[in-house]
Amino acid sequence: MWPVAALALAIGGIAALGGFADAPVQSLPRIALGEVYEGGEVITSVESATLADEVDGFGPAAEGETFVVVEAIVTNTADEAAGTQIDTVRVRLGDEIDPDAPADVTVDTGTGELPGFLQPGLPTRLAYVWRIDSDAARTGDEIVVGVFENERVENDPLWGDTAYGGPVPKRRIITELGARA
Amino acid sequence: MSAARRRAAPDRHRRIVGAAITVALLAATALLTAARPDDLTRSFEVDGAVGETVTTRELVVTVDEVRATRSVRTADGGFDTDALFIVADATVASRIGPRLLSSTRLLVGDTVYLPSTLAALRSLADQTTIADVPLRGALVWEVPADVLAADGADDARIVVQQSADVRLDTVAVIGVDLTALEPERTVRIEPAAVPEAAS
Repeated sequence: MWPVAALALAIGGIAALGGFADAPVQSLPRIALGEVYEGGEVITSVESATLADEVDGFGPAAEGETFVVVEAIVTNTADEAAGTQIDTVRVRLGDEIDPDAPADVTVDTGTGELPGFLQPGLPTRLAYVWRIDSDAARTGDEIVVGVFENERVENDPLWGDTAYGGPVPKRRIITELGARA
Repeated sequence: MSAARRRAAPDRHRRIVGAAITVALLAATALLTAARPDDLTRSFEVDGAVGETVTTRELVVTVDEVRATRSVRTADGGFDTDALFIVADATVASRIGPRLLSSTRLLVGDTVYLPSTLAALRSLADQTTIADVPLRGALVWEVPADVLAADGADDARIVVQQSADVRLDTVAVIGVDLTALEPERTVRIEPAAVPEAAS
C-alpha cells in the first residue's frame, strides 16, 4: 500500500510545483530591416529582401524561375577568419522556401564571388539567393527572414574539441518582398 | 660495524631512489596534464624579416615588401575596399612537392586573417607551388580599416605555411611592423608567375 501512497505523493508534489502546466511558448524576438543582431561571434544586419531576375556573381535566373535575394551585412566577431557564420540567414516564404533550407548560393556583393570565409572584424555584404518558380511569389508578398547563429561549443562531447552546432534561430524579420533595383 | 648499521645504509639508499622516482613521476604527470594538446603539437616557427629568405622543411620564402592600400589593381581590373588591403610581395618555392599557400596567415595580436583567394587577383594564395621552382606574386589580405593601429600591429607576423595542418612541422614567420605602413593610393599587383631568372 505504501508504494502507491508514495507515488501519489510524488505526483502531487510535481503537480503542486507546476510540473504539469503548459510550457510557455516564446516566440522569436522580432527586429526590423537594418536593425542589428549581435550574437556571440557574429553581428548581422539584414538590409533587404527582394525578387530579382539576375544576381551579380550568379547570373540570370533560368527561364520560368526568379530569385529571392536577401542582402545582409555580416561581421565575424571571432578572432579567426572562418566560414562558420556565413550560413546565418534563412527565410520562410509561404510554401515555397522553408527555413530549414540554406540559400541556394551566397555571394559576396563586393567581389561577386562565393565567400569562403569571413575575416574577423570586417563587415561583409552578402546576398543570400534562393531560386523559386517565377509565378510563386510577387512583390509585396510577406516574407519572414530569420537571423541565425552557429553557436560555439567548447569541449564538444562528440569531437572533444571546440565545435559549432547547426544554425540556431535568434531573430526574425517580417517584411514584404521588394523589387530589386 | 654492527650488522644493524650495515643494513641501514642500503635501506636509506632504496628510500632515496624510491622518493626520486616518485617525484619524477609526479613531475611528469603534472607536465603532461598541464600541457594542452595544442601546445604539444604546435608548429616550429622559423623567424625572418622582410627581405630575408627563410627556409622551412617544405618551403623557401622571401617576402620582399609589404604595403597597405584601399585599391589593388591588376591587369584585368582590380578591387577597392572601404577597409584596407595588406599586400605582401613574395617569392615562394616548395622543396618537396606541390603545395597550396591559401592557409598563409596574417597575425595581428591574437587575430588571424586569411589571404584573399579571389580568382581575379591571381595571387600566390590561389596558386600551387612546384618543387624547386620559385613562384613570385602577391599575398593580399582584406582587413578592417583600423588594423594599422590595432593591438599588436607593430609586431604583426606573416605565417607562410604549406597547408592548414602544420602541427609538428616548420612554418616561415615574417615579422612586420604594420604601424610603419602609410596606405598607398593604389597598389598594382602582378599575377603570380615564375620569375624570369628562374624560368
